Amino acid sequence: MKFFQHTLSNGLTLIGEQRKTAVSAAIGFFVRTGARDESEEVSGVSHFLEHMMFKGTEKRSALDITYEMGAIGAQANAYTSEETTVYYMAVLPEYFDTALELLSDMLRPSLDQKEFDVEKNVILEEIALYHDRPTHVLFEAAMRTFFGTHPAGNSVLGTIDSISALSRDQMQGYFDSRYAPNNLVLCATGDFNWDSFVEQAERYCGSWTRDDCPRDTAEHTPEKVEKTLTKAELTRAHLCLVGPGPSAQDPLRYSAQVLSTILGDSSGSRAYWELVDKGLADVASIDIDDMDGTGMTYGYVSTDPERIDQVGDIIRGIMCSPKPFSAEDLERAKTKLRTRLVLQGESSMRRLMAIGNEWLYRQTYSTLEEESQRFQKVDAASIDTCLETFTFEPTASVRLLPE
Amino acid sequence: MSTKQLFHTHTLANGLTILGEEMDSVSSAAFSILLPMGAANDPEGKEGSANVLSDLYNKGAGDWDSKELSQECESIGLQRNHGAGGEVSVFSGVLLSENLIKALELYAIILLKPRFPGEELDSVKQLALQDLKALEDRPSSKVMNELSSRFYPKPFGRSLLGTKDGIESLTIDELRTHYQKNLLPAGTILSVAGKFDWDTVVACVERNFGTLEGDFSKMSVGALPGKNQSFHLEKDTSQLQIALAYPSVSIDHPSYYTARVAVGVLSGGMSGRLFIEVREKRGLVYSVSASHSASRDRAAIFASAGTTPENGEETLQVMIEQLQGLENGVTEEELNRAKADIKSRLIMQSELSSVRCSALVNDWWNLSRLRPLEEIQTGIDSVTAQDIVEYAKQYPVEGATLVTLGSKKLELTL
Repeated sequence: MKFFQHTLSNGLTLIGEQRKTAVSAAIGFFVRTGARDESEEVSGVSHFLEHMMFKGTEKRSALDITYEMGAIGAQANAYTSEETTVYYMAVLPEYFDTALELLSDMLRPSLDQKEFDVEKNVILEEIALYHDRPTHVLFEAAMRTFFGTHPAGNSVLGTIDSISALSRDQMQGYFDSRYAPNNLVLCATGDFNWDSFVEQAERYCGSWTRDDCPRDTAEHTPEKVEKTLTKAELTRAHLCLVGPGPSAQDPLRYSAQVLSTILGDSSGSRAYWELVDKGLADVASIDIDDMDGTGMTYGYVSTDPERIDQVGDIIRGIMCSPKPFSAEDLERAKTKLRTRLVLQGESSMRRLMAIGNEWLYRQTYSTLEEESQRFQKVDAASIDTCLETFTFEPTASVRLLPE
Repeated sequence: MSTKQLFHTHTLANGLTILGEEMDSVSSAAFSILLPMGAANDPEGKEGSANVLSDLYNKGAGDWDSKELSQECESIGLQRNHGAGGEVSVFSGVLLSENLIKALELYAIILLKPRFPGEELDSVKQLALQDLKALEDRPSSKVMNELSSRFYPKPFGRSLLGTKDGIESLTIDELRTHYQKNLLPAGTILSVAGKFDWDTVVACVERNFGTLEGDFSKMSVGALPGKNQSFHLEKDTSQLQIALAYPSVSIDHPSYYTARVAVGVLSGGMSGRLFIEVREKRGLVYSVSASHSASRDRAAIFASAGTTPENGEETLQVMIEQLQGLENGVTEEELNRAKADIKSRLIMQSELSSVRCSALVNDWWNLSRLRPLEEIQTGIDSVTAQDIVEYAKQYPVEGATLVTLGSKKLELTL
């Protein structure tokens, strides 16, 4: 694998990781924007805009875009999180140039009023869809509760009210303020030609103009909060516990990731043995989410409603007393994480997500070997250092119970 | 694919088949082991046997208790999966290639010397019952589960999770007997894909599985009758789930690739008719799709959507119009897009050793041979617009089974 990087004069960063033996190539625009960059009035605009990116440009209608993607068999999609918006396509190598031109054009949308009105209904349907998914309702509430008024806890989908009231011009305003080339990374992986990629990116994106795209990265000081929500016709009881964790820029995240694997991986972890193996919970997990300048450690369980207190005490107990663990526990967790990395290297799409996000958050590139070494170096002492700053003890606790 | 695929096949004297595909571009190896025991084989009144058994394997084998067993797997970096399907149970894993033989040795112990400890049965049953309840909180999965069981003749459409009564009534002795009865080498298929040494794999499998005995014959389902029936499950949800199924052609049928491309025209990528008409033009839904579900001797087209109740009737009506509309013709552009989508997915997924591994066992189970990617591509390429029109007339939507879940009942009127 070979890595390349180049920044256009307007600030658009291009990165690429070439793997000549790949049978595919993947391209993605990684945008440093998401729900945390929205004011309350336009809550949900990042995600709605992500949909509108497929709905037409100056030279293409929505159907043109869809049909052109279809004609080259592009596997295309996009997602929006609290702090990133990503647009991507995987194609056979011979269609790389076509896909690059198409995706670049899509990133300058016309935001047609008629398409906007139709798509608004799709977004409202999506909100209704997620309202029927207990885990989504719970996680959204848990993030809001943990982050309090901090923007990192903003809802990605927005609300029925905020989406209903949103205008096309408000969306245009948001686009203008967040999609400047210096706030984007254009990334390619798999089998492609770097020089031709740079030359084409310059041609398609070189005229985009630089702008300031500030983000509020104020420190977040969590408070202790407990909440119970209810939902009609719910069968299971769900609990999410959230505490502070290392940010995406914090080197402690490797130790935190290894520790969370020991404590709460989906198999063979402490949470697995104490809850799932015993038949007390159908899901039990502990994980970290490293975000821009902030982060979370969190635990989740799903169980029978009558057992929620017992199961909640157990998962909380694991998070509050992460030690002791054996040397073998530590080695097994590291082996797991390093195996996942090897498999990541065998797919253009998985590598695209890994290196695109790494550049967006840290402006660095790591080979799989370097990343693997960082996990290999984690030991009991580095985990102790991590625990001095991030105890894994939750501050926010949100339960979702049957009505 | 520019390079030719390198397949291996070998059948042991007892009928167990070993399959392999060597892949130059990866450093991992994957394996899949298919046992001929799924939900359809569960004894009457004991629905959930295969599902509970597939979890019980993890509760100890040979000299290891369940924790030791898990640690053995994790110490070689094995990422593993297991589960009971309709007619089969599949155990699969992926790991660094240098550990493949260790993993196969491990799985020989798990599958041939399981402890099935009686004292663990209660917690495994608890978990199975919890999974069953958790399904109630996932309306879009629940509706597909209900549709399968109402569409396919018994015992084929059974929920893979089993039933509450079935799970509760299971005893450890019944499960042990069920396991013994279904441990049949002639129905067992083991595949490896990625980086491996074929001779070493064959020797390892021969050594471990070569002494098994027993004959095996597959169950037959026959043709699916058209049904034309509607069912509704009342639930206080934000969205109404709509799901319908109607008969299609199975993998060994001459029109198989036509059916695949027809479904591609309806639902390939973002440019399929359902997505364009129901979502893009009318904004009625967030998700709408159709899929072709085919195995050895039965197949169906499944179509589903979720929408708020006030949009329910229009959504179903537009879906039906699109499904029926195939009879009226398909443009060359649509045909080419559908083909491009299927072929590019096929090729791109072929990068992953785990995907190839499961393709090998599935091909062997369904066809008793392996299909090179090139054969599938040729099959897809050969489909014409006229083929699709004729296929659609022969396998019409009329006679579909409809299931709705939510706060509004819909009727199928065709």
